[in-house]
Amino acid sequence: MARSELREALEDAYDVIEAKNGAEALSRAGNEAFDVVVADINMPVMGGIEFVRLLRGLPSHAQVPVIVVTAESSDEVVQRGRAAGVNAWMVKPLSPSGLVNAVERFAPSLDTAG
Amino acid sequence: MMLAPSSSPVVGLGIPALARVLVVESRPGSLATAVVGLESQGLSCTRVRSHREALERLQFDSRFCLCVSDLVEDDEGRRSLYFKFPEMSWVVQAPRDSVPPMRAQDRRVRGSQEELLDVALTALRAHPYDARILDVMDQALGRTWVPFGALKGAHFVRRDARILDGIAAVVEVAGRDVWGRVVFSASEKVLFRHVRRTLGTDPASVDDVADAAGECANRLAGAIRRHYRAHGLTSSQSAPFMVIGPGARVTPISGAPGLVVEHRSERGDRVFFEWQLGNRPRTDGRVAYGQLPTGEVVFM
Repeated sequence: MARSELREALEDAYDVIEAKNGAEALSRAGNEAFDVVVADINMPVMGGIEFVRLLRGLPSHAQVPVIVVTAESSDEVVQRGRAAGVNAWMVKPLSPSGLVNAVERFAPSLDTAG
Repeated sequence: MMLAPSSSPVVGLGIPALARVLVVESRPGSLATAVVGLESQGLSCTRVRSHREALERLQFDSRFCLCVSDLVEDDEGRRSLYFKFPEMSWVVQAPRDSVPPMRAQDRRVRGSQEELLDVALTALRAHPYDARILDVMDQALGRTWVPFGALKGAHFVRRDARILDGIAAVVEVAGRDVWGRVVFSASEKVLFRHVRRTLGTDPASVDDVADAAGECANRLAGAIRRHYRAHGLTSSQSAPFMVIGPGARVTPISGAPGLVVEHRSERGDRVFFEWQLGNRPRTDGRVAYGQLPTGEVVFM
């Protein structure tokens, strides 16, 4: 799933803010609070694991659930992700409903939260 | 961590079709069980009796992805084989501890032929070098890069994560049976020239040529997927992402080596098509085939 597809899958139930890479996401997280973060591992500028590690250093996001959506599945990378603070790992390809279900495990949707 | 899947391993999935194995069997019958096992997986085995005979064979027939050997002597023949055919992995049956050190990608087996077979299949899975996939890559790169007028260049295997040229477009391929990554690399200068020639416009920025690289990577990934689909191995592909800049890196999947096809033009411009086939280690450290579920969430 591309970023636009991730957005389409989630935007019916959630406010979705996009970032192009880890550095941009980190910059936004410094200024806004998010309930759930969905990230890839292989991104330009700053990769997903580095991003999660730095995100955990922000007091506002130290406990925010992070779901990784990636084609990466090697045990080494998964372990590094867990050590950095990833909460859930999804291996592509995946269905939109699968992603929505995963996000719902961590955050109430706008409909139910309202 | 809920990483351990319940399904049993499907040995053989993901091993390149018609992969060829060179068997160095100095003692007749010493590797017979392993050979039968490899051939039962659809692999083609060629037997020779010594490193020297292997070397002679490889002078005219170099496309073997794996050498399985019962010869542990570090003689001149083996050193020549290492030097001339670095893309070939080795699995050596070595009952003694006193064998000379081997390369990192090689395996040493002290146990039974069944264990040797298991290790050999693992090495094959992690080392997708075979004639068929190289031809697919060559043809795909040629078709994708027609306006460039490039000629076939080198084929090589590498483990370095640094991108091969200034701009790399990466497409991930993922499915139940095939996982990997296509990386298309070229210099900024070559890509600018490509865009001018194909679109007839002057690209305004690196972003414009990066898009062109992404499109190339998309097509190459499609060719890889069609190749595996023809052998019953289905997969999907991601949207391309770009890695730009000298020294930038693309993390290899599972330590599997990247198989690279290079094309170059008469003026010396080069483009690279790299295919990294990943494997999926089980949590017990052994390599599994077709096990980890895709599309399911794993809570950590």
